[in-house]
Amino acid sequence: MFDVIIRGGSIVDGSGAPSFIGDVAIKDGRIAEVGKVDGAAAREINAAGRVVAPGFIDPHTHFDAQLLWDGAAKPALEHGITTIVPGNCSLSLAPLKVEHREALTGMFRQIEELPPEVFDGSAFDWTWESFDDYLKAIREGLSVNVAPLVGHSVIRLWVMGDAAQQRAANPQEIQGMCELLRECLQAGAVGLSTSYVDVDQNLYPVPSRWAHFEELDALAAVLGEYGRVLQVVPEFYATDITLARVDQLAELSLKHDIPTTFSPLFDNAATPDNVPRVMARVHEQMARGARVWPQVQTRPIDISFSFELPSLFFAANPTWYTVMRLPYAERTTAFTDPDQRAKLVAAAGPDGGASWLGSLILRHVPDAASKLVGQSVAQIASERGVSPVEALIDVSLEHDFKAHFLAESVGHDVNSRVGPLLADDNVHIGASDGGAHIASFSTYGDTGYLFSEFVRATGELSLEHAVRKITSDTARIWGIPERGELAPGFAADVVIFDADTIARGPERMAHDLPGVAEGGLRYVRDSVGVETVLVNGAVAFESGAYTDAHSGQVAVA
Amino acid sequence: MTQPEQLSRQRRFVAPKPGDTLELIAERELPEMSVADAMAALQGWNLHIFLMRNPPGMLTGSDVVFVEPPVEGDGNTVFGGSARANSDA
Repeated sequence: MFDVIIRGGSIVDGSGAPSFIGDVAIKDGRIAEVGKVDGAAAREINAAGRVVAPGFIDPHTHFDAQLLWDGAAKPALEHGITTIVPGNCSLSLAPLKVEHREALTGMFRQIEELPPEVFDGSAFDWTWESFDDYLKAIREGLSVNVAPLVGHSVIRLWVMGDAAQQRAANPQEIQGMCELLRECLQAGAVGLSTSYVDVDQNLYPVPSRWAHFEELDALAAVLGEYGRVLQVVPEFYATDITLARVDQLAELSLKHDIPTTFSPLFDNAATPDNVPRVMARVHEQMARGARVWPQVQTRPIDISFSFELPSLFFAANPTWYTVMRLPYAERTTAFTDPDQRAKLVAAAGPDGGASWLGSLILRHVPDAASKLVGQSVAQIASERGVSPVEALIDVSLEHDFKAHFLAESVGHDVNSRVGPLLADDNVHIGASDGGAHIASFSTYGDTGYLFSEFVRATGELSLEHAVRKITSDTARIWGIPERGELAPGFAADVVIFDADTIARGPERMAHDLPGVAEGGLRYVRDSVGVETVLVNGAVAFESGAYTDAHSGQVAVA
Repeated sequence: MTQPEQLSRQRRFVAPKPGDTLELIAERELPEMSVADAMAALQGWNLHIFLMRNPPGMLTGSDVVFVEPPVEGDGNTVFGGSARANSDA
């Protein structure tokens, strides 16, 4: 007697092999049989006309805080994601001493755009300092599997305190970091993350950026003891620096026999040489035996923002970025005081912000009947006879800072180039950033977009190839055991979807952050075409609704 | 950082050592130049350290410091309006 039998689906087993019609039997949370299954089960699921695939693995997320109140990492799970990797970009929520909470949560607020109220005790209880105790805090409520990274910035903060953002570590401190990393790996960390670009709430480089190569080399040696992963955020905005990081990662990979991965890598029409040059170097290093996996996301990045909250849209303009971080009253003054306003207008560029702001689309205002919604800032400016930057400011003031604008295709913007990149054997599909940048854009549905855009629309990847890239390839790269394939003995993480319709839904606002007034704001996308998701044999999502199953595990050997 | 022979030529860079300053790197890596000229050269080749930092020129331990100009024909592609806070300024 099996627990579950999924009958008559088109089985895409994650290996890349051609699909076939068959059954999948599940017993005690594991795949028991695949093929023609005889016998009965406590529950049978009819999958005729649907694809049955291994659950998808998302290797780049920031659900560290959300997992404390939402073990499904909603809405990731409903898109077919059954395993997530939080703790990317040098930031995890553990190990963390009580006295360092303010410093670390400041980094989370800055980088993930999580509001401060989330961390003040109303959304969850701070019950841990060690990595092991953090895992205990999330384990009971997990509906999704978690393969957590430990953050380099956090390890540095634990050992060095304030000096973590001031200087090089001495040999004793490096030894202390190595011992702490070893403890985290033994507790269940899948690897170490570090960052070369992130800044804290004061716009100061995060601790990992103060580490010399010798420190990272010592930590990579510890990763080598366990065969675990090093994840890096390089200076992706400059090709030559990214190439230097590829070489550094290759050196660490070869020296310590570890997999490394870096993200993001964007293909943008404005920088057509970037991907070809980076990938040429990746191919050279991979041919030498180094494991340097570029993570490439499937979607373009569409940034939404209002003047209500600080937005990374302004990160490239220090004058605007500084003003956007002021308290509400001071921010209002900055746009209404003639002298301050004039400085902001000037900082938008000599063309009145035409090149920077003109293509922005007015996405939302409180007045649902407004005819301005859907127009570009350039159009509004033209109709009003003002410059684009003045139109942007005026519309924002008219709506009490509640006018939302959209900057489209900031990352990838040429799908005809992205498809072949995703199909490259040396490219790792990931970099969703799930759970991060929540007030700027949705980080959900990249898998649906992979199928709708690059399997169905362009045909760049076959269905089997696409599934392999986000299941067994990911598990292999990350060393996540017994997941990513529908094979006997593997964990029964399964997604059942309609290959003709699977996609991501439209981006929408959600107001569901615990402890935040009116639920705060985050952008999400609902899934389309995903019918049933099983995690370790338990149905976690079906018929458009989440179940009460909390069958997720910490998924590291 | 040295590059193994079987790899194609890439732009030469160094990683700072503990205690390094840009002046020390300039003296060490560009000994044929005066320190002033070497510093000026480093500034021109490492805009990510000089234009995107507050204060400008603040060296962090993990920095990549280029010790030669871009390799001819490669250019150094830089994103405008990147999707992430990439400026410390």
